[in-house]
Amino acid sequence: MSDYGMKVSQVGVDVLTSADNQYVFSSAFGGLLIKDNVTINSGGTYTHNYGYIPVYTAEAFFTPNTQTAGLNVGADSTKIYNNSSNNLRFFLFARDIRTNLSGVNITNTPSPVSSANLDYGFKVSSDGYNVKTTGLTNLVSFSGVSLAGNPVRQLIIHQTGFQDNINSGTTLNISHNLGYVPQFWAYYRKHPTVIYSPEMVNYQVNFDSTVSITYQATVSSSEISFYNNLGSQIDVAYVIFKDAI
Amino acid sequence: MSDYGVKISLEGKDISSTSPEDYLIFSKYQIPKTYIVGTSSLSFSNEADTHNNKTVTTVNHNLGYKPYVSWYWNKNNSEYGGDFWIESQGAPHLVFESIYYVVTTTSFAIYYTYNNGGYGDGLTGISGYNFGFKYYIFIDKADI
Repeated sequence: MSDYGMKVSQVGVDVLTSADNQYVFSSAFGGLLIKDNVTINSGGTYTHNYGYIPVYTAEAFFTPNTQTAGLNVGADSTKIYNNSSNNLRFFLFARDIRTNLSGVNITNTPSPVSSANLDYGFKVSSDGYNVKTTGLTNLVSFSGVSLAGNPVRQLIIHQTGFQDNINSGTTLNISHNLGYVPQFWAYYRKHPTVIYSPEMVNYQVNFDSTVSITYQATVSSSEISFYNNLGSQIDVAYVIFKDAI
Repeated sequence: MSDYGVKISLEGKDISSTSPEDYLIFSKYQIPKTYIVGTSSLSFSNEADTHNNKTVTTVNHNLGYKPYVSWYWNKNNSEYGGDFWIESQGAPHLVFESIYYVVTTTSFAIYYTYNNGGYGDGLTGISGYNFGFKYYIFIDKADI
């Protein structure tokens, strides 16, 4: 493989010494493009027809001081399903949920962040928008900081994968080799359904002894774990990002 | 529409591809970008304290629209050995109580709501629990 590509570090970090999780992006690693950004009303579906089950997220908008429940949503190779009582916003990404990508570390040693000479960087606007004048929401990629002073970063994929046929009553552990607790998205499907759901569905927290955990996806500094006690086999899929929680 | 923009293909993929699956950056497609990242915590001093609604944190983002957010939480710092970070894109359901977020066009907030709802006394025996939160507010617009 030829050693070429493109990488942009976050504001104040030398791109030559940047740690993997200090890039805005790097072509050495994977990323996520938003293929569709749609609202699906309660009980509704959206037909994407990608021909694969996409990585996706669901966003709910709750109001203060109300009892909330987990979101009942799912995806297959043609549709997204919203079986929740809320209207939800979905991001569908141009990536098959059942894709294996081994995690590669180049360096996890943080580079110093400088506050000097910050007037340079990288900025790309969406189709049809003037990169010099458009607002943040119409920028595809850029290096900058928020009003709160946080460096803007794209979600950089470290590792993805899937595992089928996890028996009920067992835990599957998968190493990620990052050395820190990473941001992650996880999905599962309970046999015999073909629909993948995010991990919060059917999730119950064992804060007191009256509640039992039926499924959970958790992550530590060394591995991602899937616990299945749903009474039948499950298939799981996950995306681990280069971003420390 | 002028035919210009930027695209960076993934390793081994042809730059002439029209499929977004083959790209790291393709200016026809948006990319999720973290904008504000922060932490917060919630503790219960005693059993009675779990019966009070609480605002855990409020963060102003002032984006002018409802952004996509993602958050994680743990119990008693067990993430370092106990694997208890839990990703919750929507709302975790605590059966009797809820910890959830609310997004407006100007702010992001995390709430704890107590609701015995006829279920009983709620979370017994959690007075020693401390919860940690990590939240990500993205630039990406998620208005319904």
